[in-house]
Amino acid sequence: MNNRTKGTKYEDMVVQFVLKKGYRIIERNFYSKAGEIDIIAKDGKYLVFIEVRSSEKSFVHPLESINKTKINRIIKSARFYLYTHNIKAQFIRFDVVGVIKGKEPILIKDAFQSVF
Amino acid sequence: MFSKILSAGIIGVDAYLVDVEVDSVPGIPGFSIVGLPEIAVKESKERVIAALKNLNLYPGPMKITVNLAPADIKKEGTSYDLPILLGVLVNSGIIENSSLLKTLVAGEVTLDGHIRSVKGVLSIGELVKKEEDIDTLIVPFENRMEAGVVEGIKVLPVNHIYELINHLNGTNPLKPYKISIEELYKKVNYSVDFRDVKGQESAKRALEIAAAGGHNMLMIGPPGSGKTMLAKRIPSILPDISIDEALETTRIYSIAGLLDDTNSFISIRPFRAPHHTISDAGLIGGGHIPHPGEVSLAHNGVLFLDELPEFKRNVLEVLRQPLEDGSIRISRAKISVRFPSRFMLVAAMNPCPCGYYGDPFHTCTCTPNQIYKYRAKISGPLMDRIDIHIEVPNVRYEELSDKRRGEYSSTIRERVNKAREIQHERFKRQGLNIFSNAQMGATQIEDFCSIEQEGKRLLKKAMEHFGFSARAYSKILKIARTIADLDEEESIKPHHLSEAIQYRSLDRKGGI
Repeated sequence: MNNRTKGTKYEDMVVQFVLKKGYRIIERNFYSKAGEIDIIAKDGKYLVFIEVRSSEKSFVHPLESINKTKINRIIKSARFYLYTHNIKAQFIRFDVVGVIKGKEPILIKDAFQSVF
Repeated sequence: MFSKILSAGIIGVDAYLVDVEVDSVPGIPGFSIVGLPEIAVKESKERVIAALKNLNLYPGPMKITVNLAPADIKKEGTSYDLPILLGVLVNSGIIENSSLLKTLVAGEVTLDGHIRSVKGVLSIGELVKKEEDIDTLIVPFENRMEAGVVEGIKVLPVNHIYELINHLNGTNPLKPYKISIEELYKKVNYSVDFRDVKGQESAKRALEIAAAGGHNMLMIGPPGSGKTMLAKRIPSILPDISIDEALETTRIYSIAGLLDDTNSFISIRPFRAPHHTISDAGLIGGGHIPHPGEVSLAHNGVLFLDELPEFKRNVLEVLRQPLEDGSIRISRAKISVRFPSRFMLVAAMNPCPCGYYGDPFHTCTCTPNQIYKYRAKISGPLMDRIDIHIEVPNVRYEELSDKRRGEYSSTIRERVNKAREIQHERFKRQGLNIFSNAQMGATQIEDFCSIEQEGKRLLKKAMEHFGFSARAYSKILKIARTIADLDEEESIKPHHLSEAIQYRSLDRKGGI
């Protein structure tokens, strides 16, 4: 298994995980020049952009693996998605799900916001 | 959703209206504050969000924009926390916009929803009083007394956000807070007394005259002679502070953030004694957004400069404007602010670098050049502003061990009060806006300090003998006027003049 396939395996896990939480999947692996978004879902009135963080090691917390650059890329991609899909006046949220090998995924809602 | 909450900012010693506009819309989540916020204001966002989350009032991620209007004046301080938080709550429907009509809000918010004190509440209260369309002021509980003394406004002190929400929703209305100035304006018991000082009767006399007439004073003496000890006791003999003066002083201290629950109202004359390493900005005020300096904190009181020659030359130079005008104007790129700074200057110094020039028991080890240089550190224009110079020699053993004691401060203060009263009457009768003899100009000296033949002869002799300048001449007349007032005499007599002459020791040829 290479990194790419490992990643997809974890993403599948997360999709199942958020479906159980009541999210509705809109799109997976949205790619754009600005960057990529792992999962786009709907949770009540929120359109949620979900970033999946996986780790083989057992002590790495998902949020710790995200830095400012990554956050900015995700937000940029989100803006691009909203623009190209002509979405306005929509409640938006950024969630992060961390998967550690052998453990239950951890969901962090509203994990980060834009700093403008 | 859009809401607007009224708040206030401070420029100089006055408050001005600030509209806190809060806009909450769906979109990429974020929280931004505009309107030239300084760092503490920018950090508001962290406090407000954390508090909302901890109180289960967080409306969920959304795009929040806060504008502090007018947007081109720099905003500082933490007082915008509470109005911002309330704006968010109005937008999420937790409280009604109508509950905050005609209401001004200020307060800092803690992470668990408590409301902390902020600066300048007295000035904010006075702003609310002035504004016709505002009648209610919501303030932190700790600031209630400053706001409470302002007449004609409704003051609602709050401790916690829940308390405020319950009030605004009508569930549990708060009781308006009121306090009269008389209650706060308590008679003070000073912990020090002139009686503590053994001997030094002539220095005490000079201080009494200085206090009565508001004259600036310089004490010159060897180390350990008691100059500092005397200076610390000056507040105990200063004339009683009037209510208007107390309000003025409290306003300045409120803006400087120096009030607290035990000291919510300044009802004694301030005594400030900055260390000689102070900078010019620390002394007269300044900073990015101008704040009051020591001269303003000494307004209506005493500024004591111990070891005068140790102060940096440029720092002493900036004293000129406040000593001349009774106020200080600080200009920045966009704004110019005026702080009041009318104080009595008291300074102390040694006669020479080693401290013992003129001392009968010690040998002075300085060269004449060293002495000259030391003295020259204090510029002419500054010396010009000092009316009284006295020597404070070392106290002899007999005086130190004498069981007999001098007068109590309260006795001296009674005389000072009487003399000050006479001065008030004198100037009020002519419609002049001055309150003490020290403030008299050339015209007033002519009007109020006329002397008879005998006095004129005495002065002429003294001027020729000691080589007094014209400047010294007018100062002698002013001091004599105060001495006569203390004597409750209408006209200045020769003995008043001869005593006044003693207080110009530095003018005499060759100094001490």
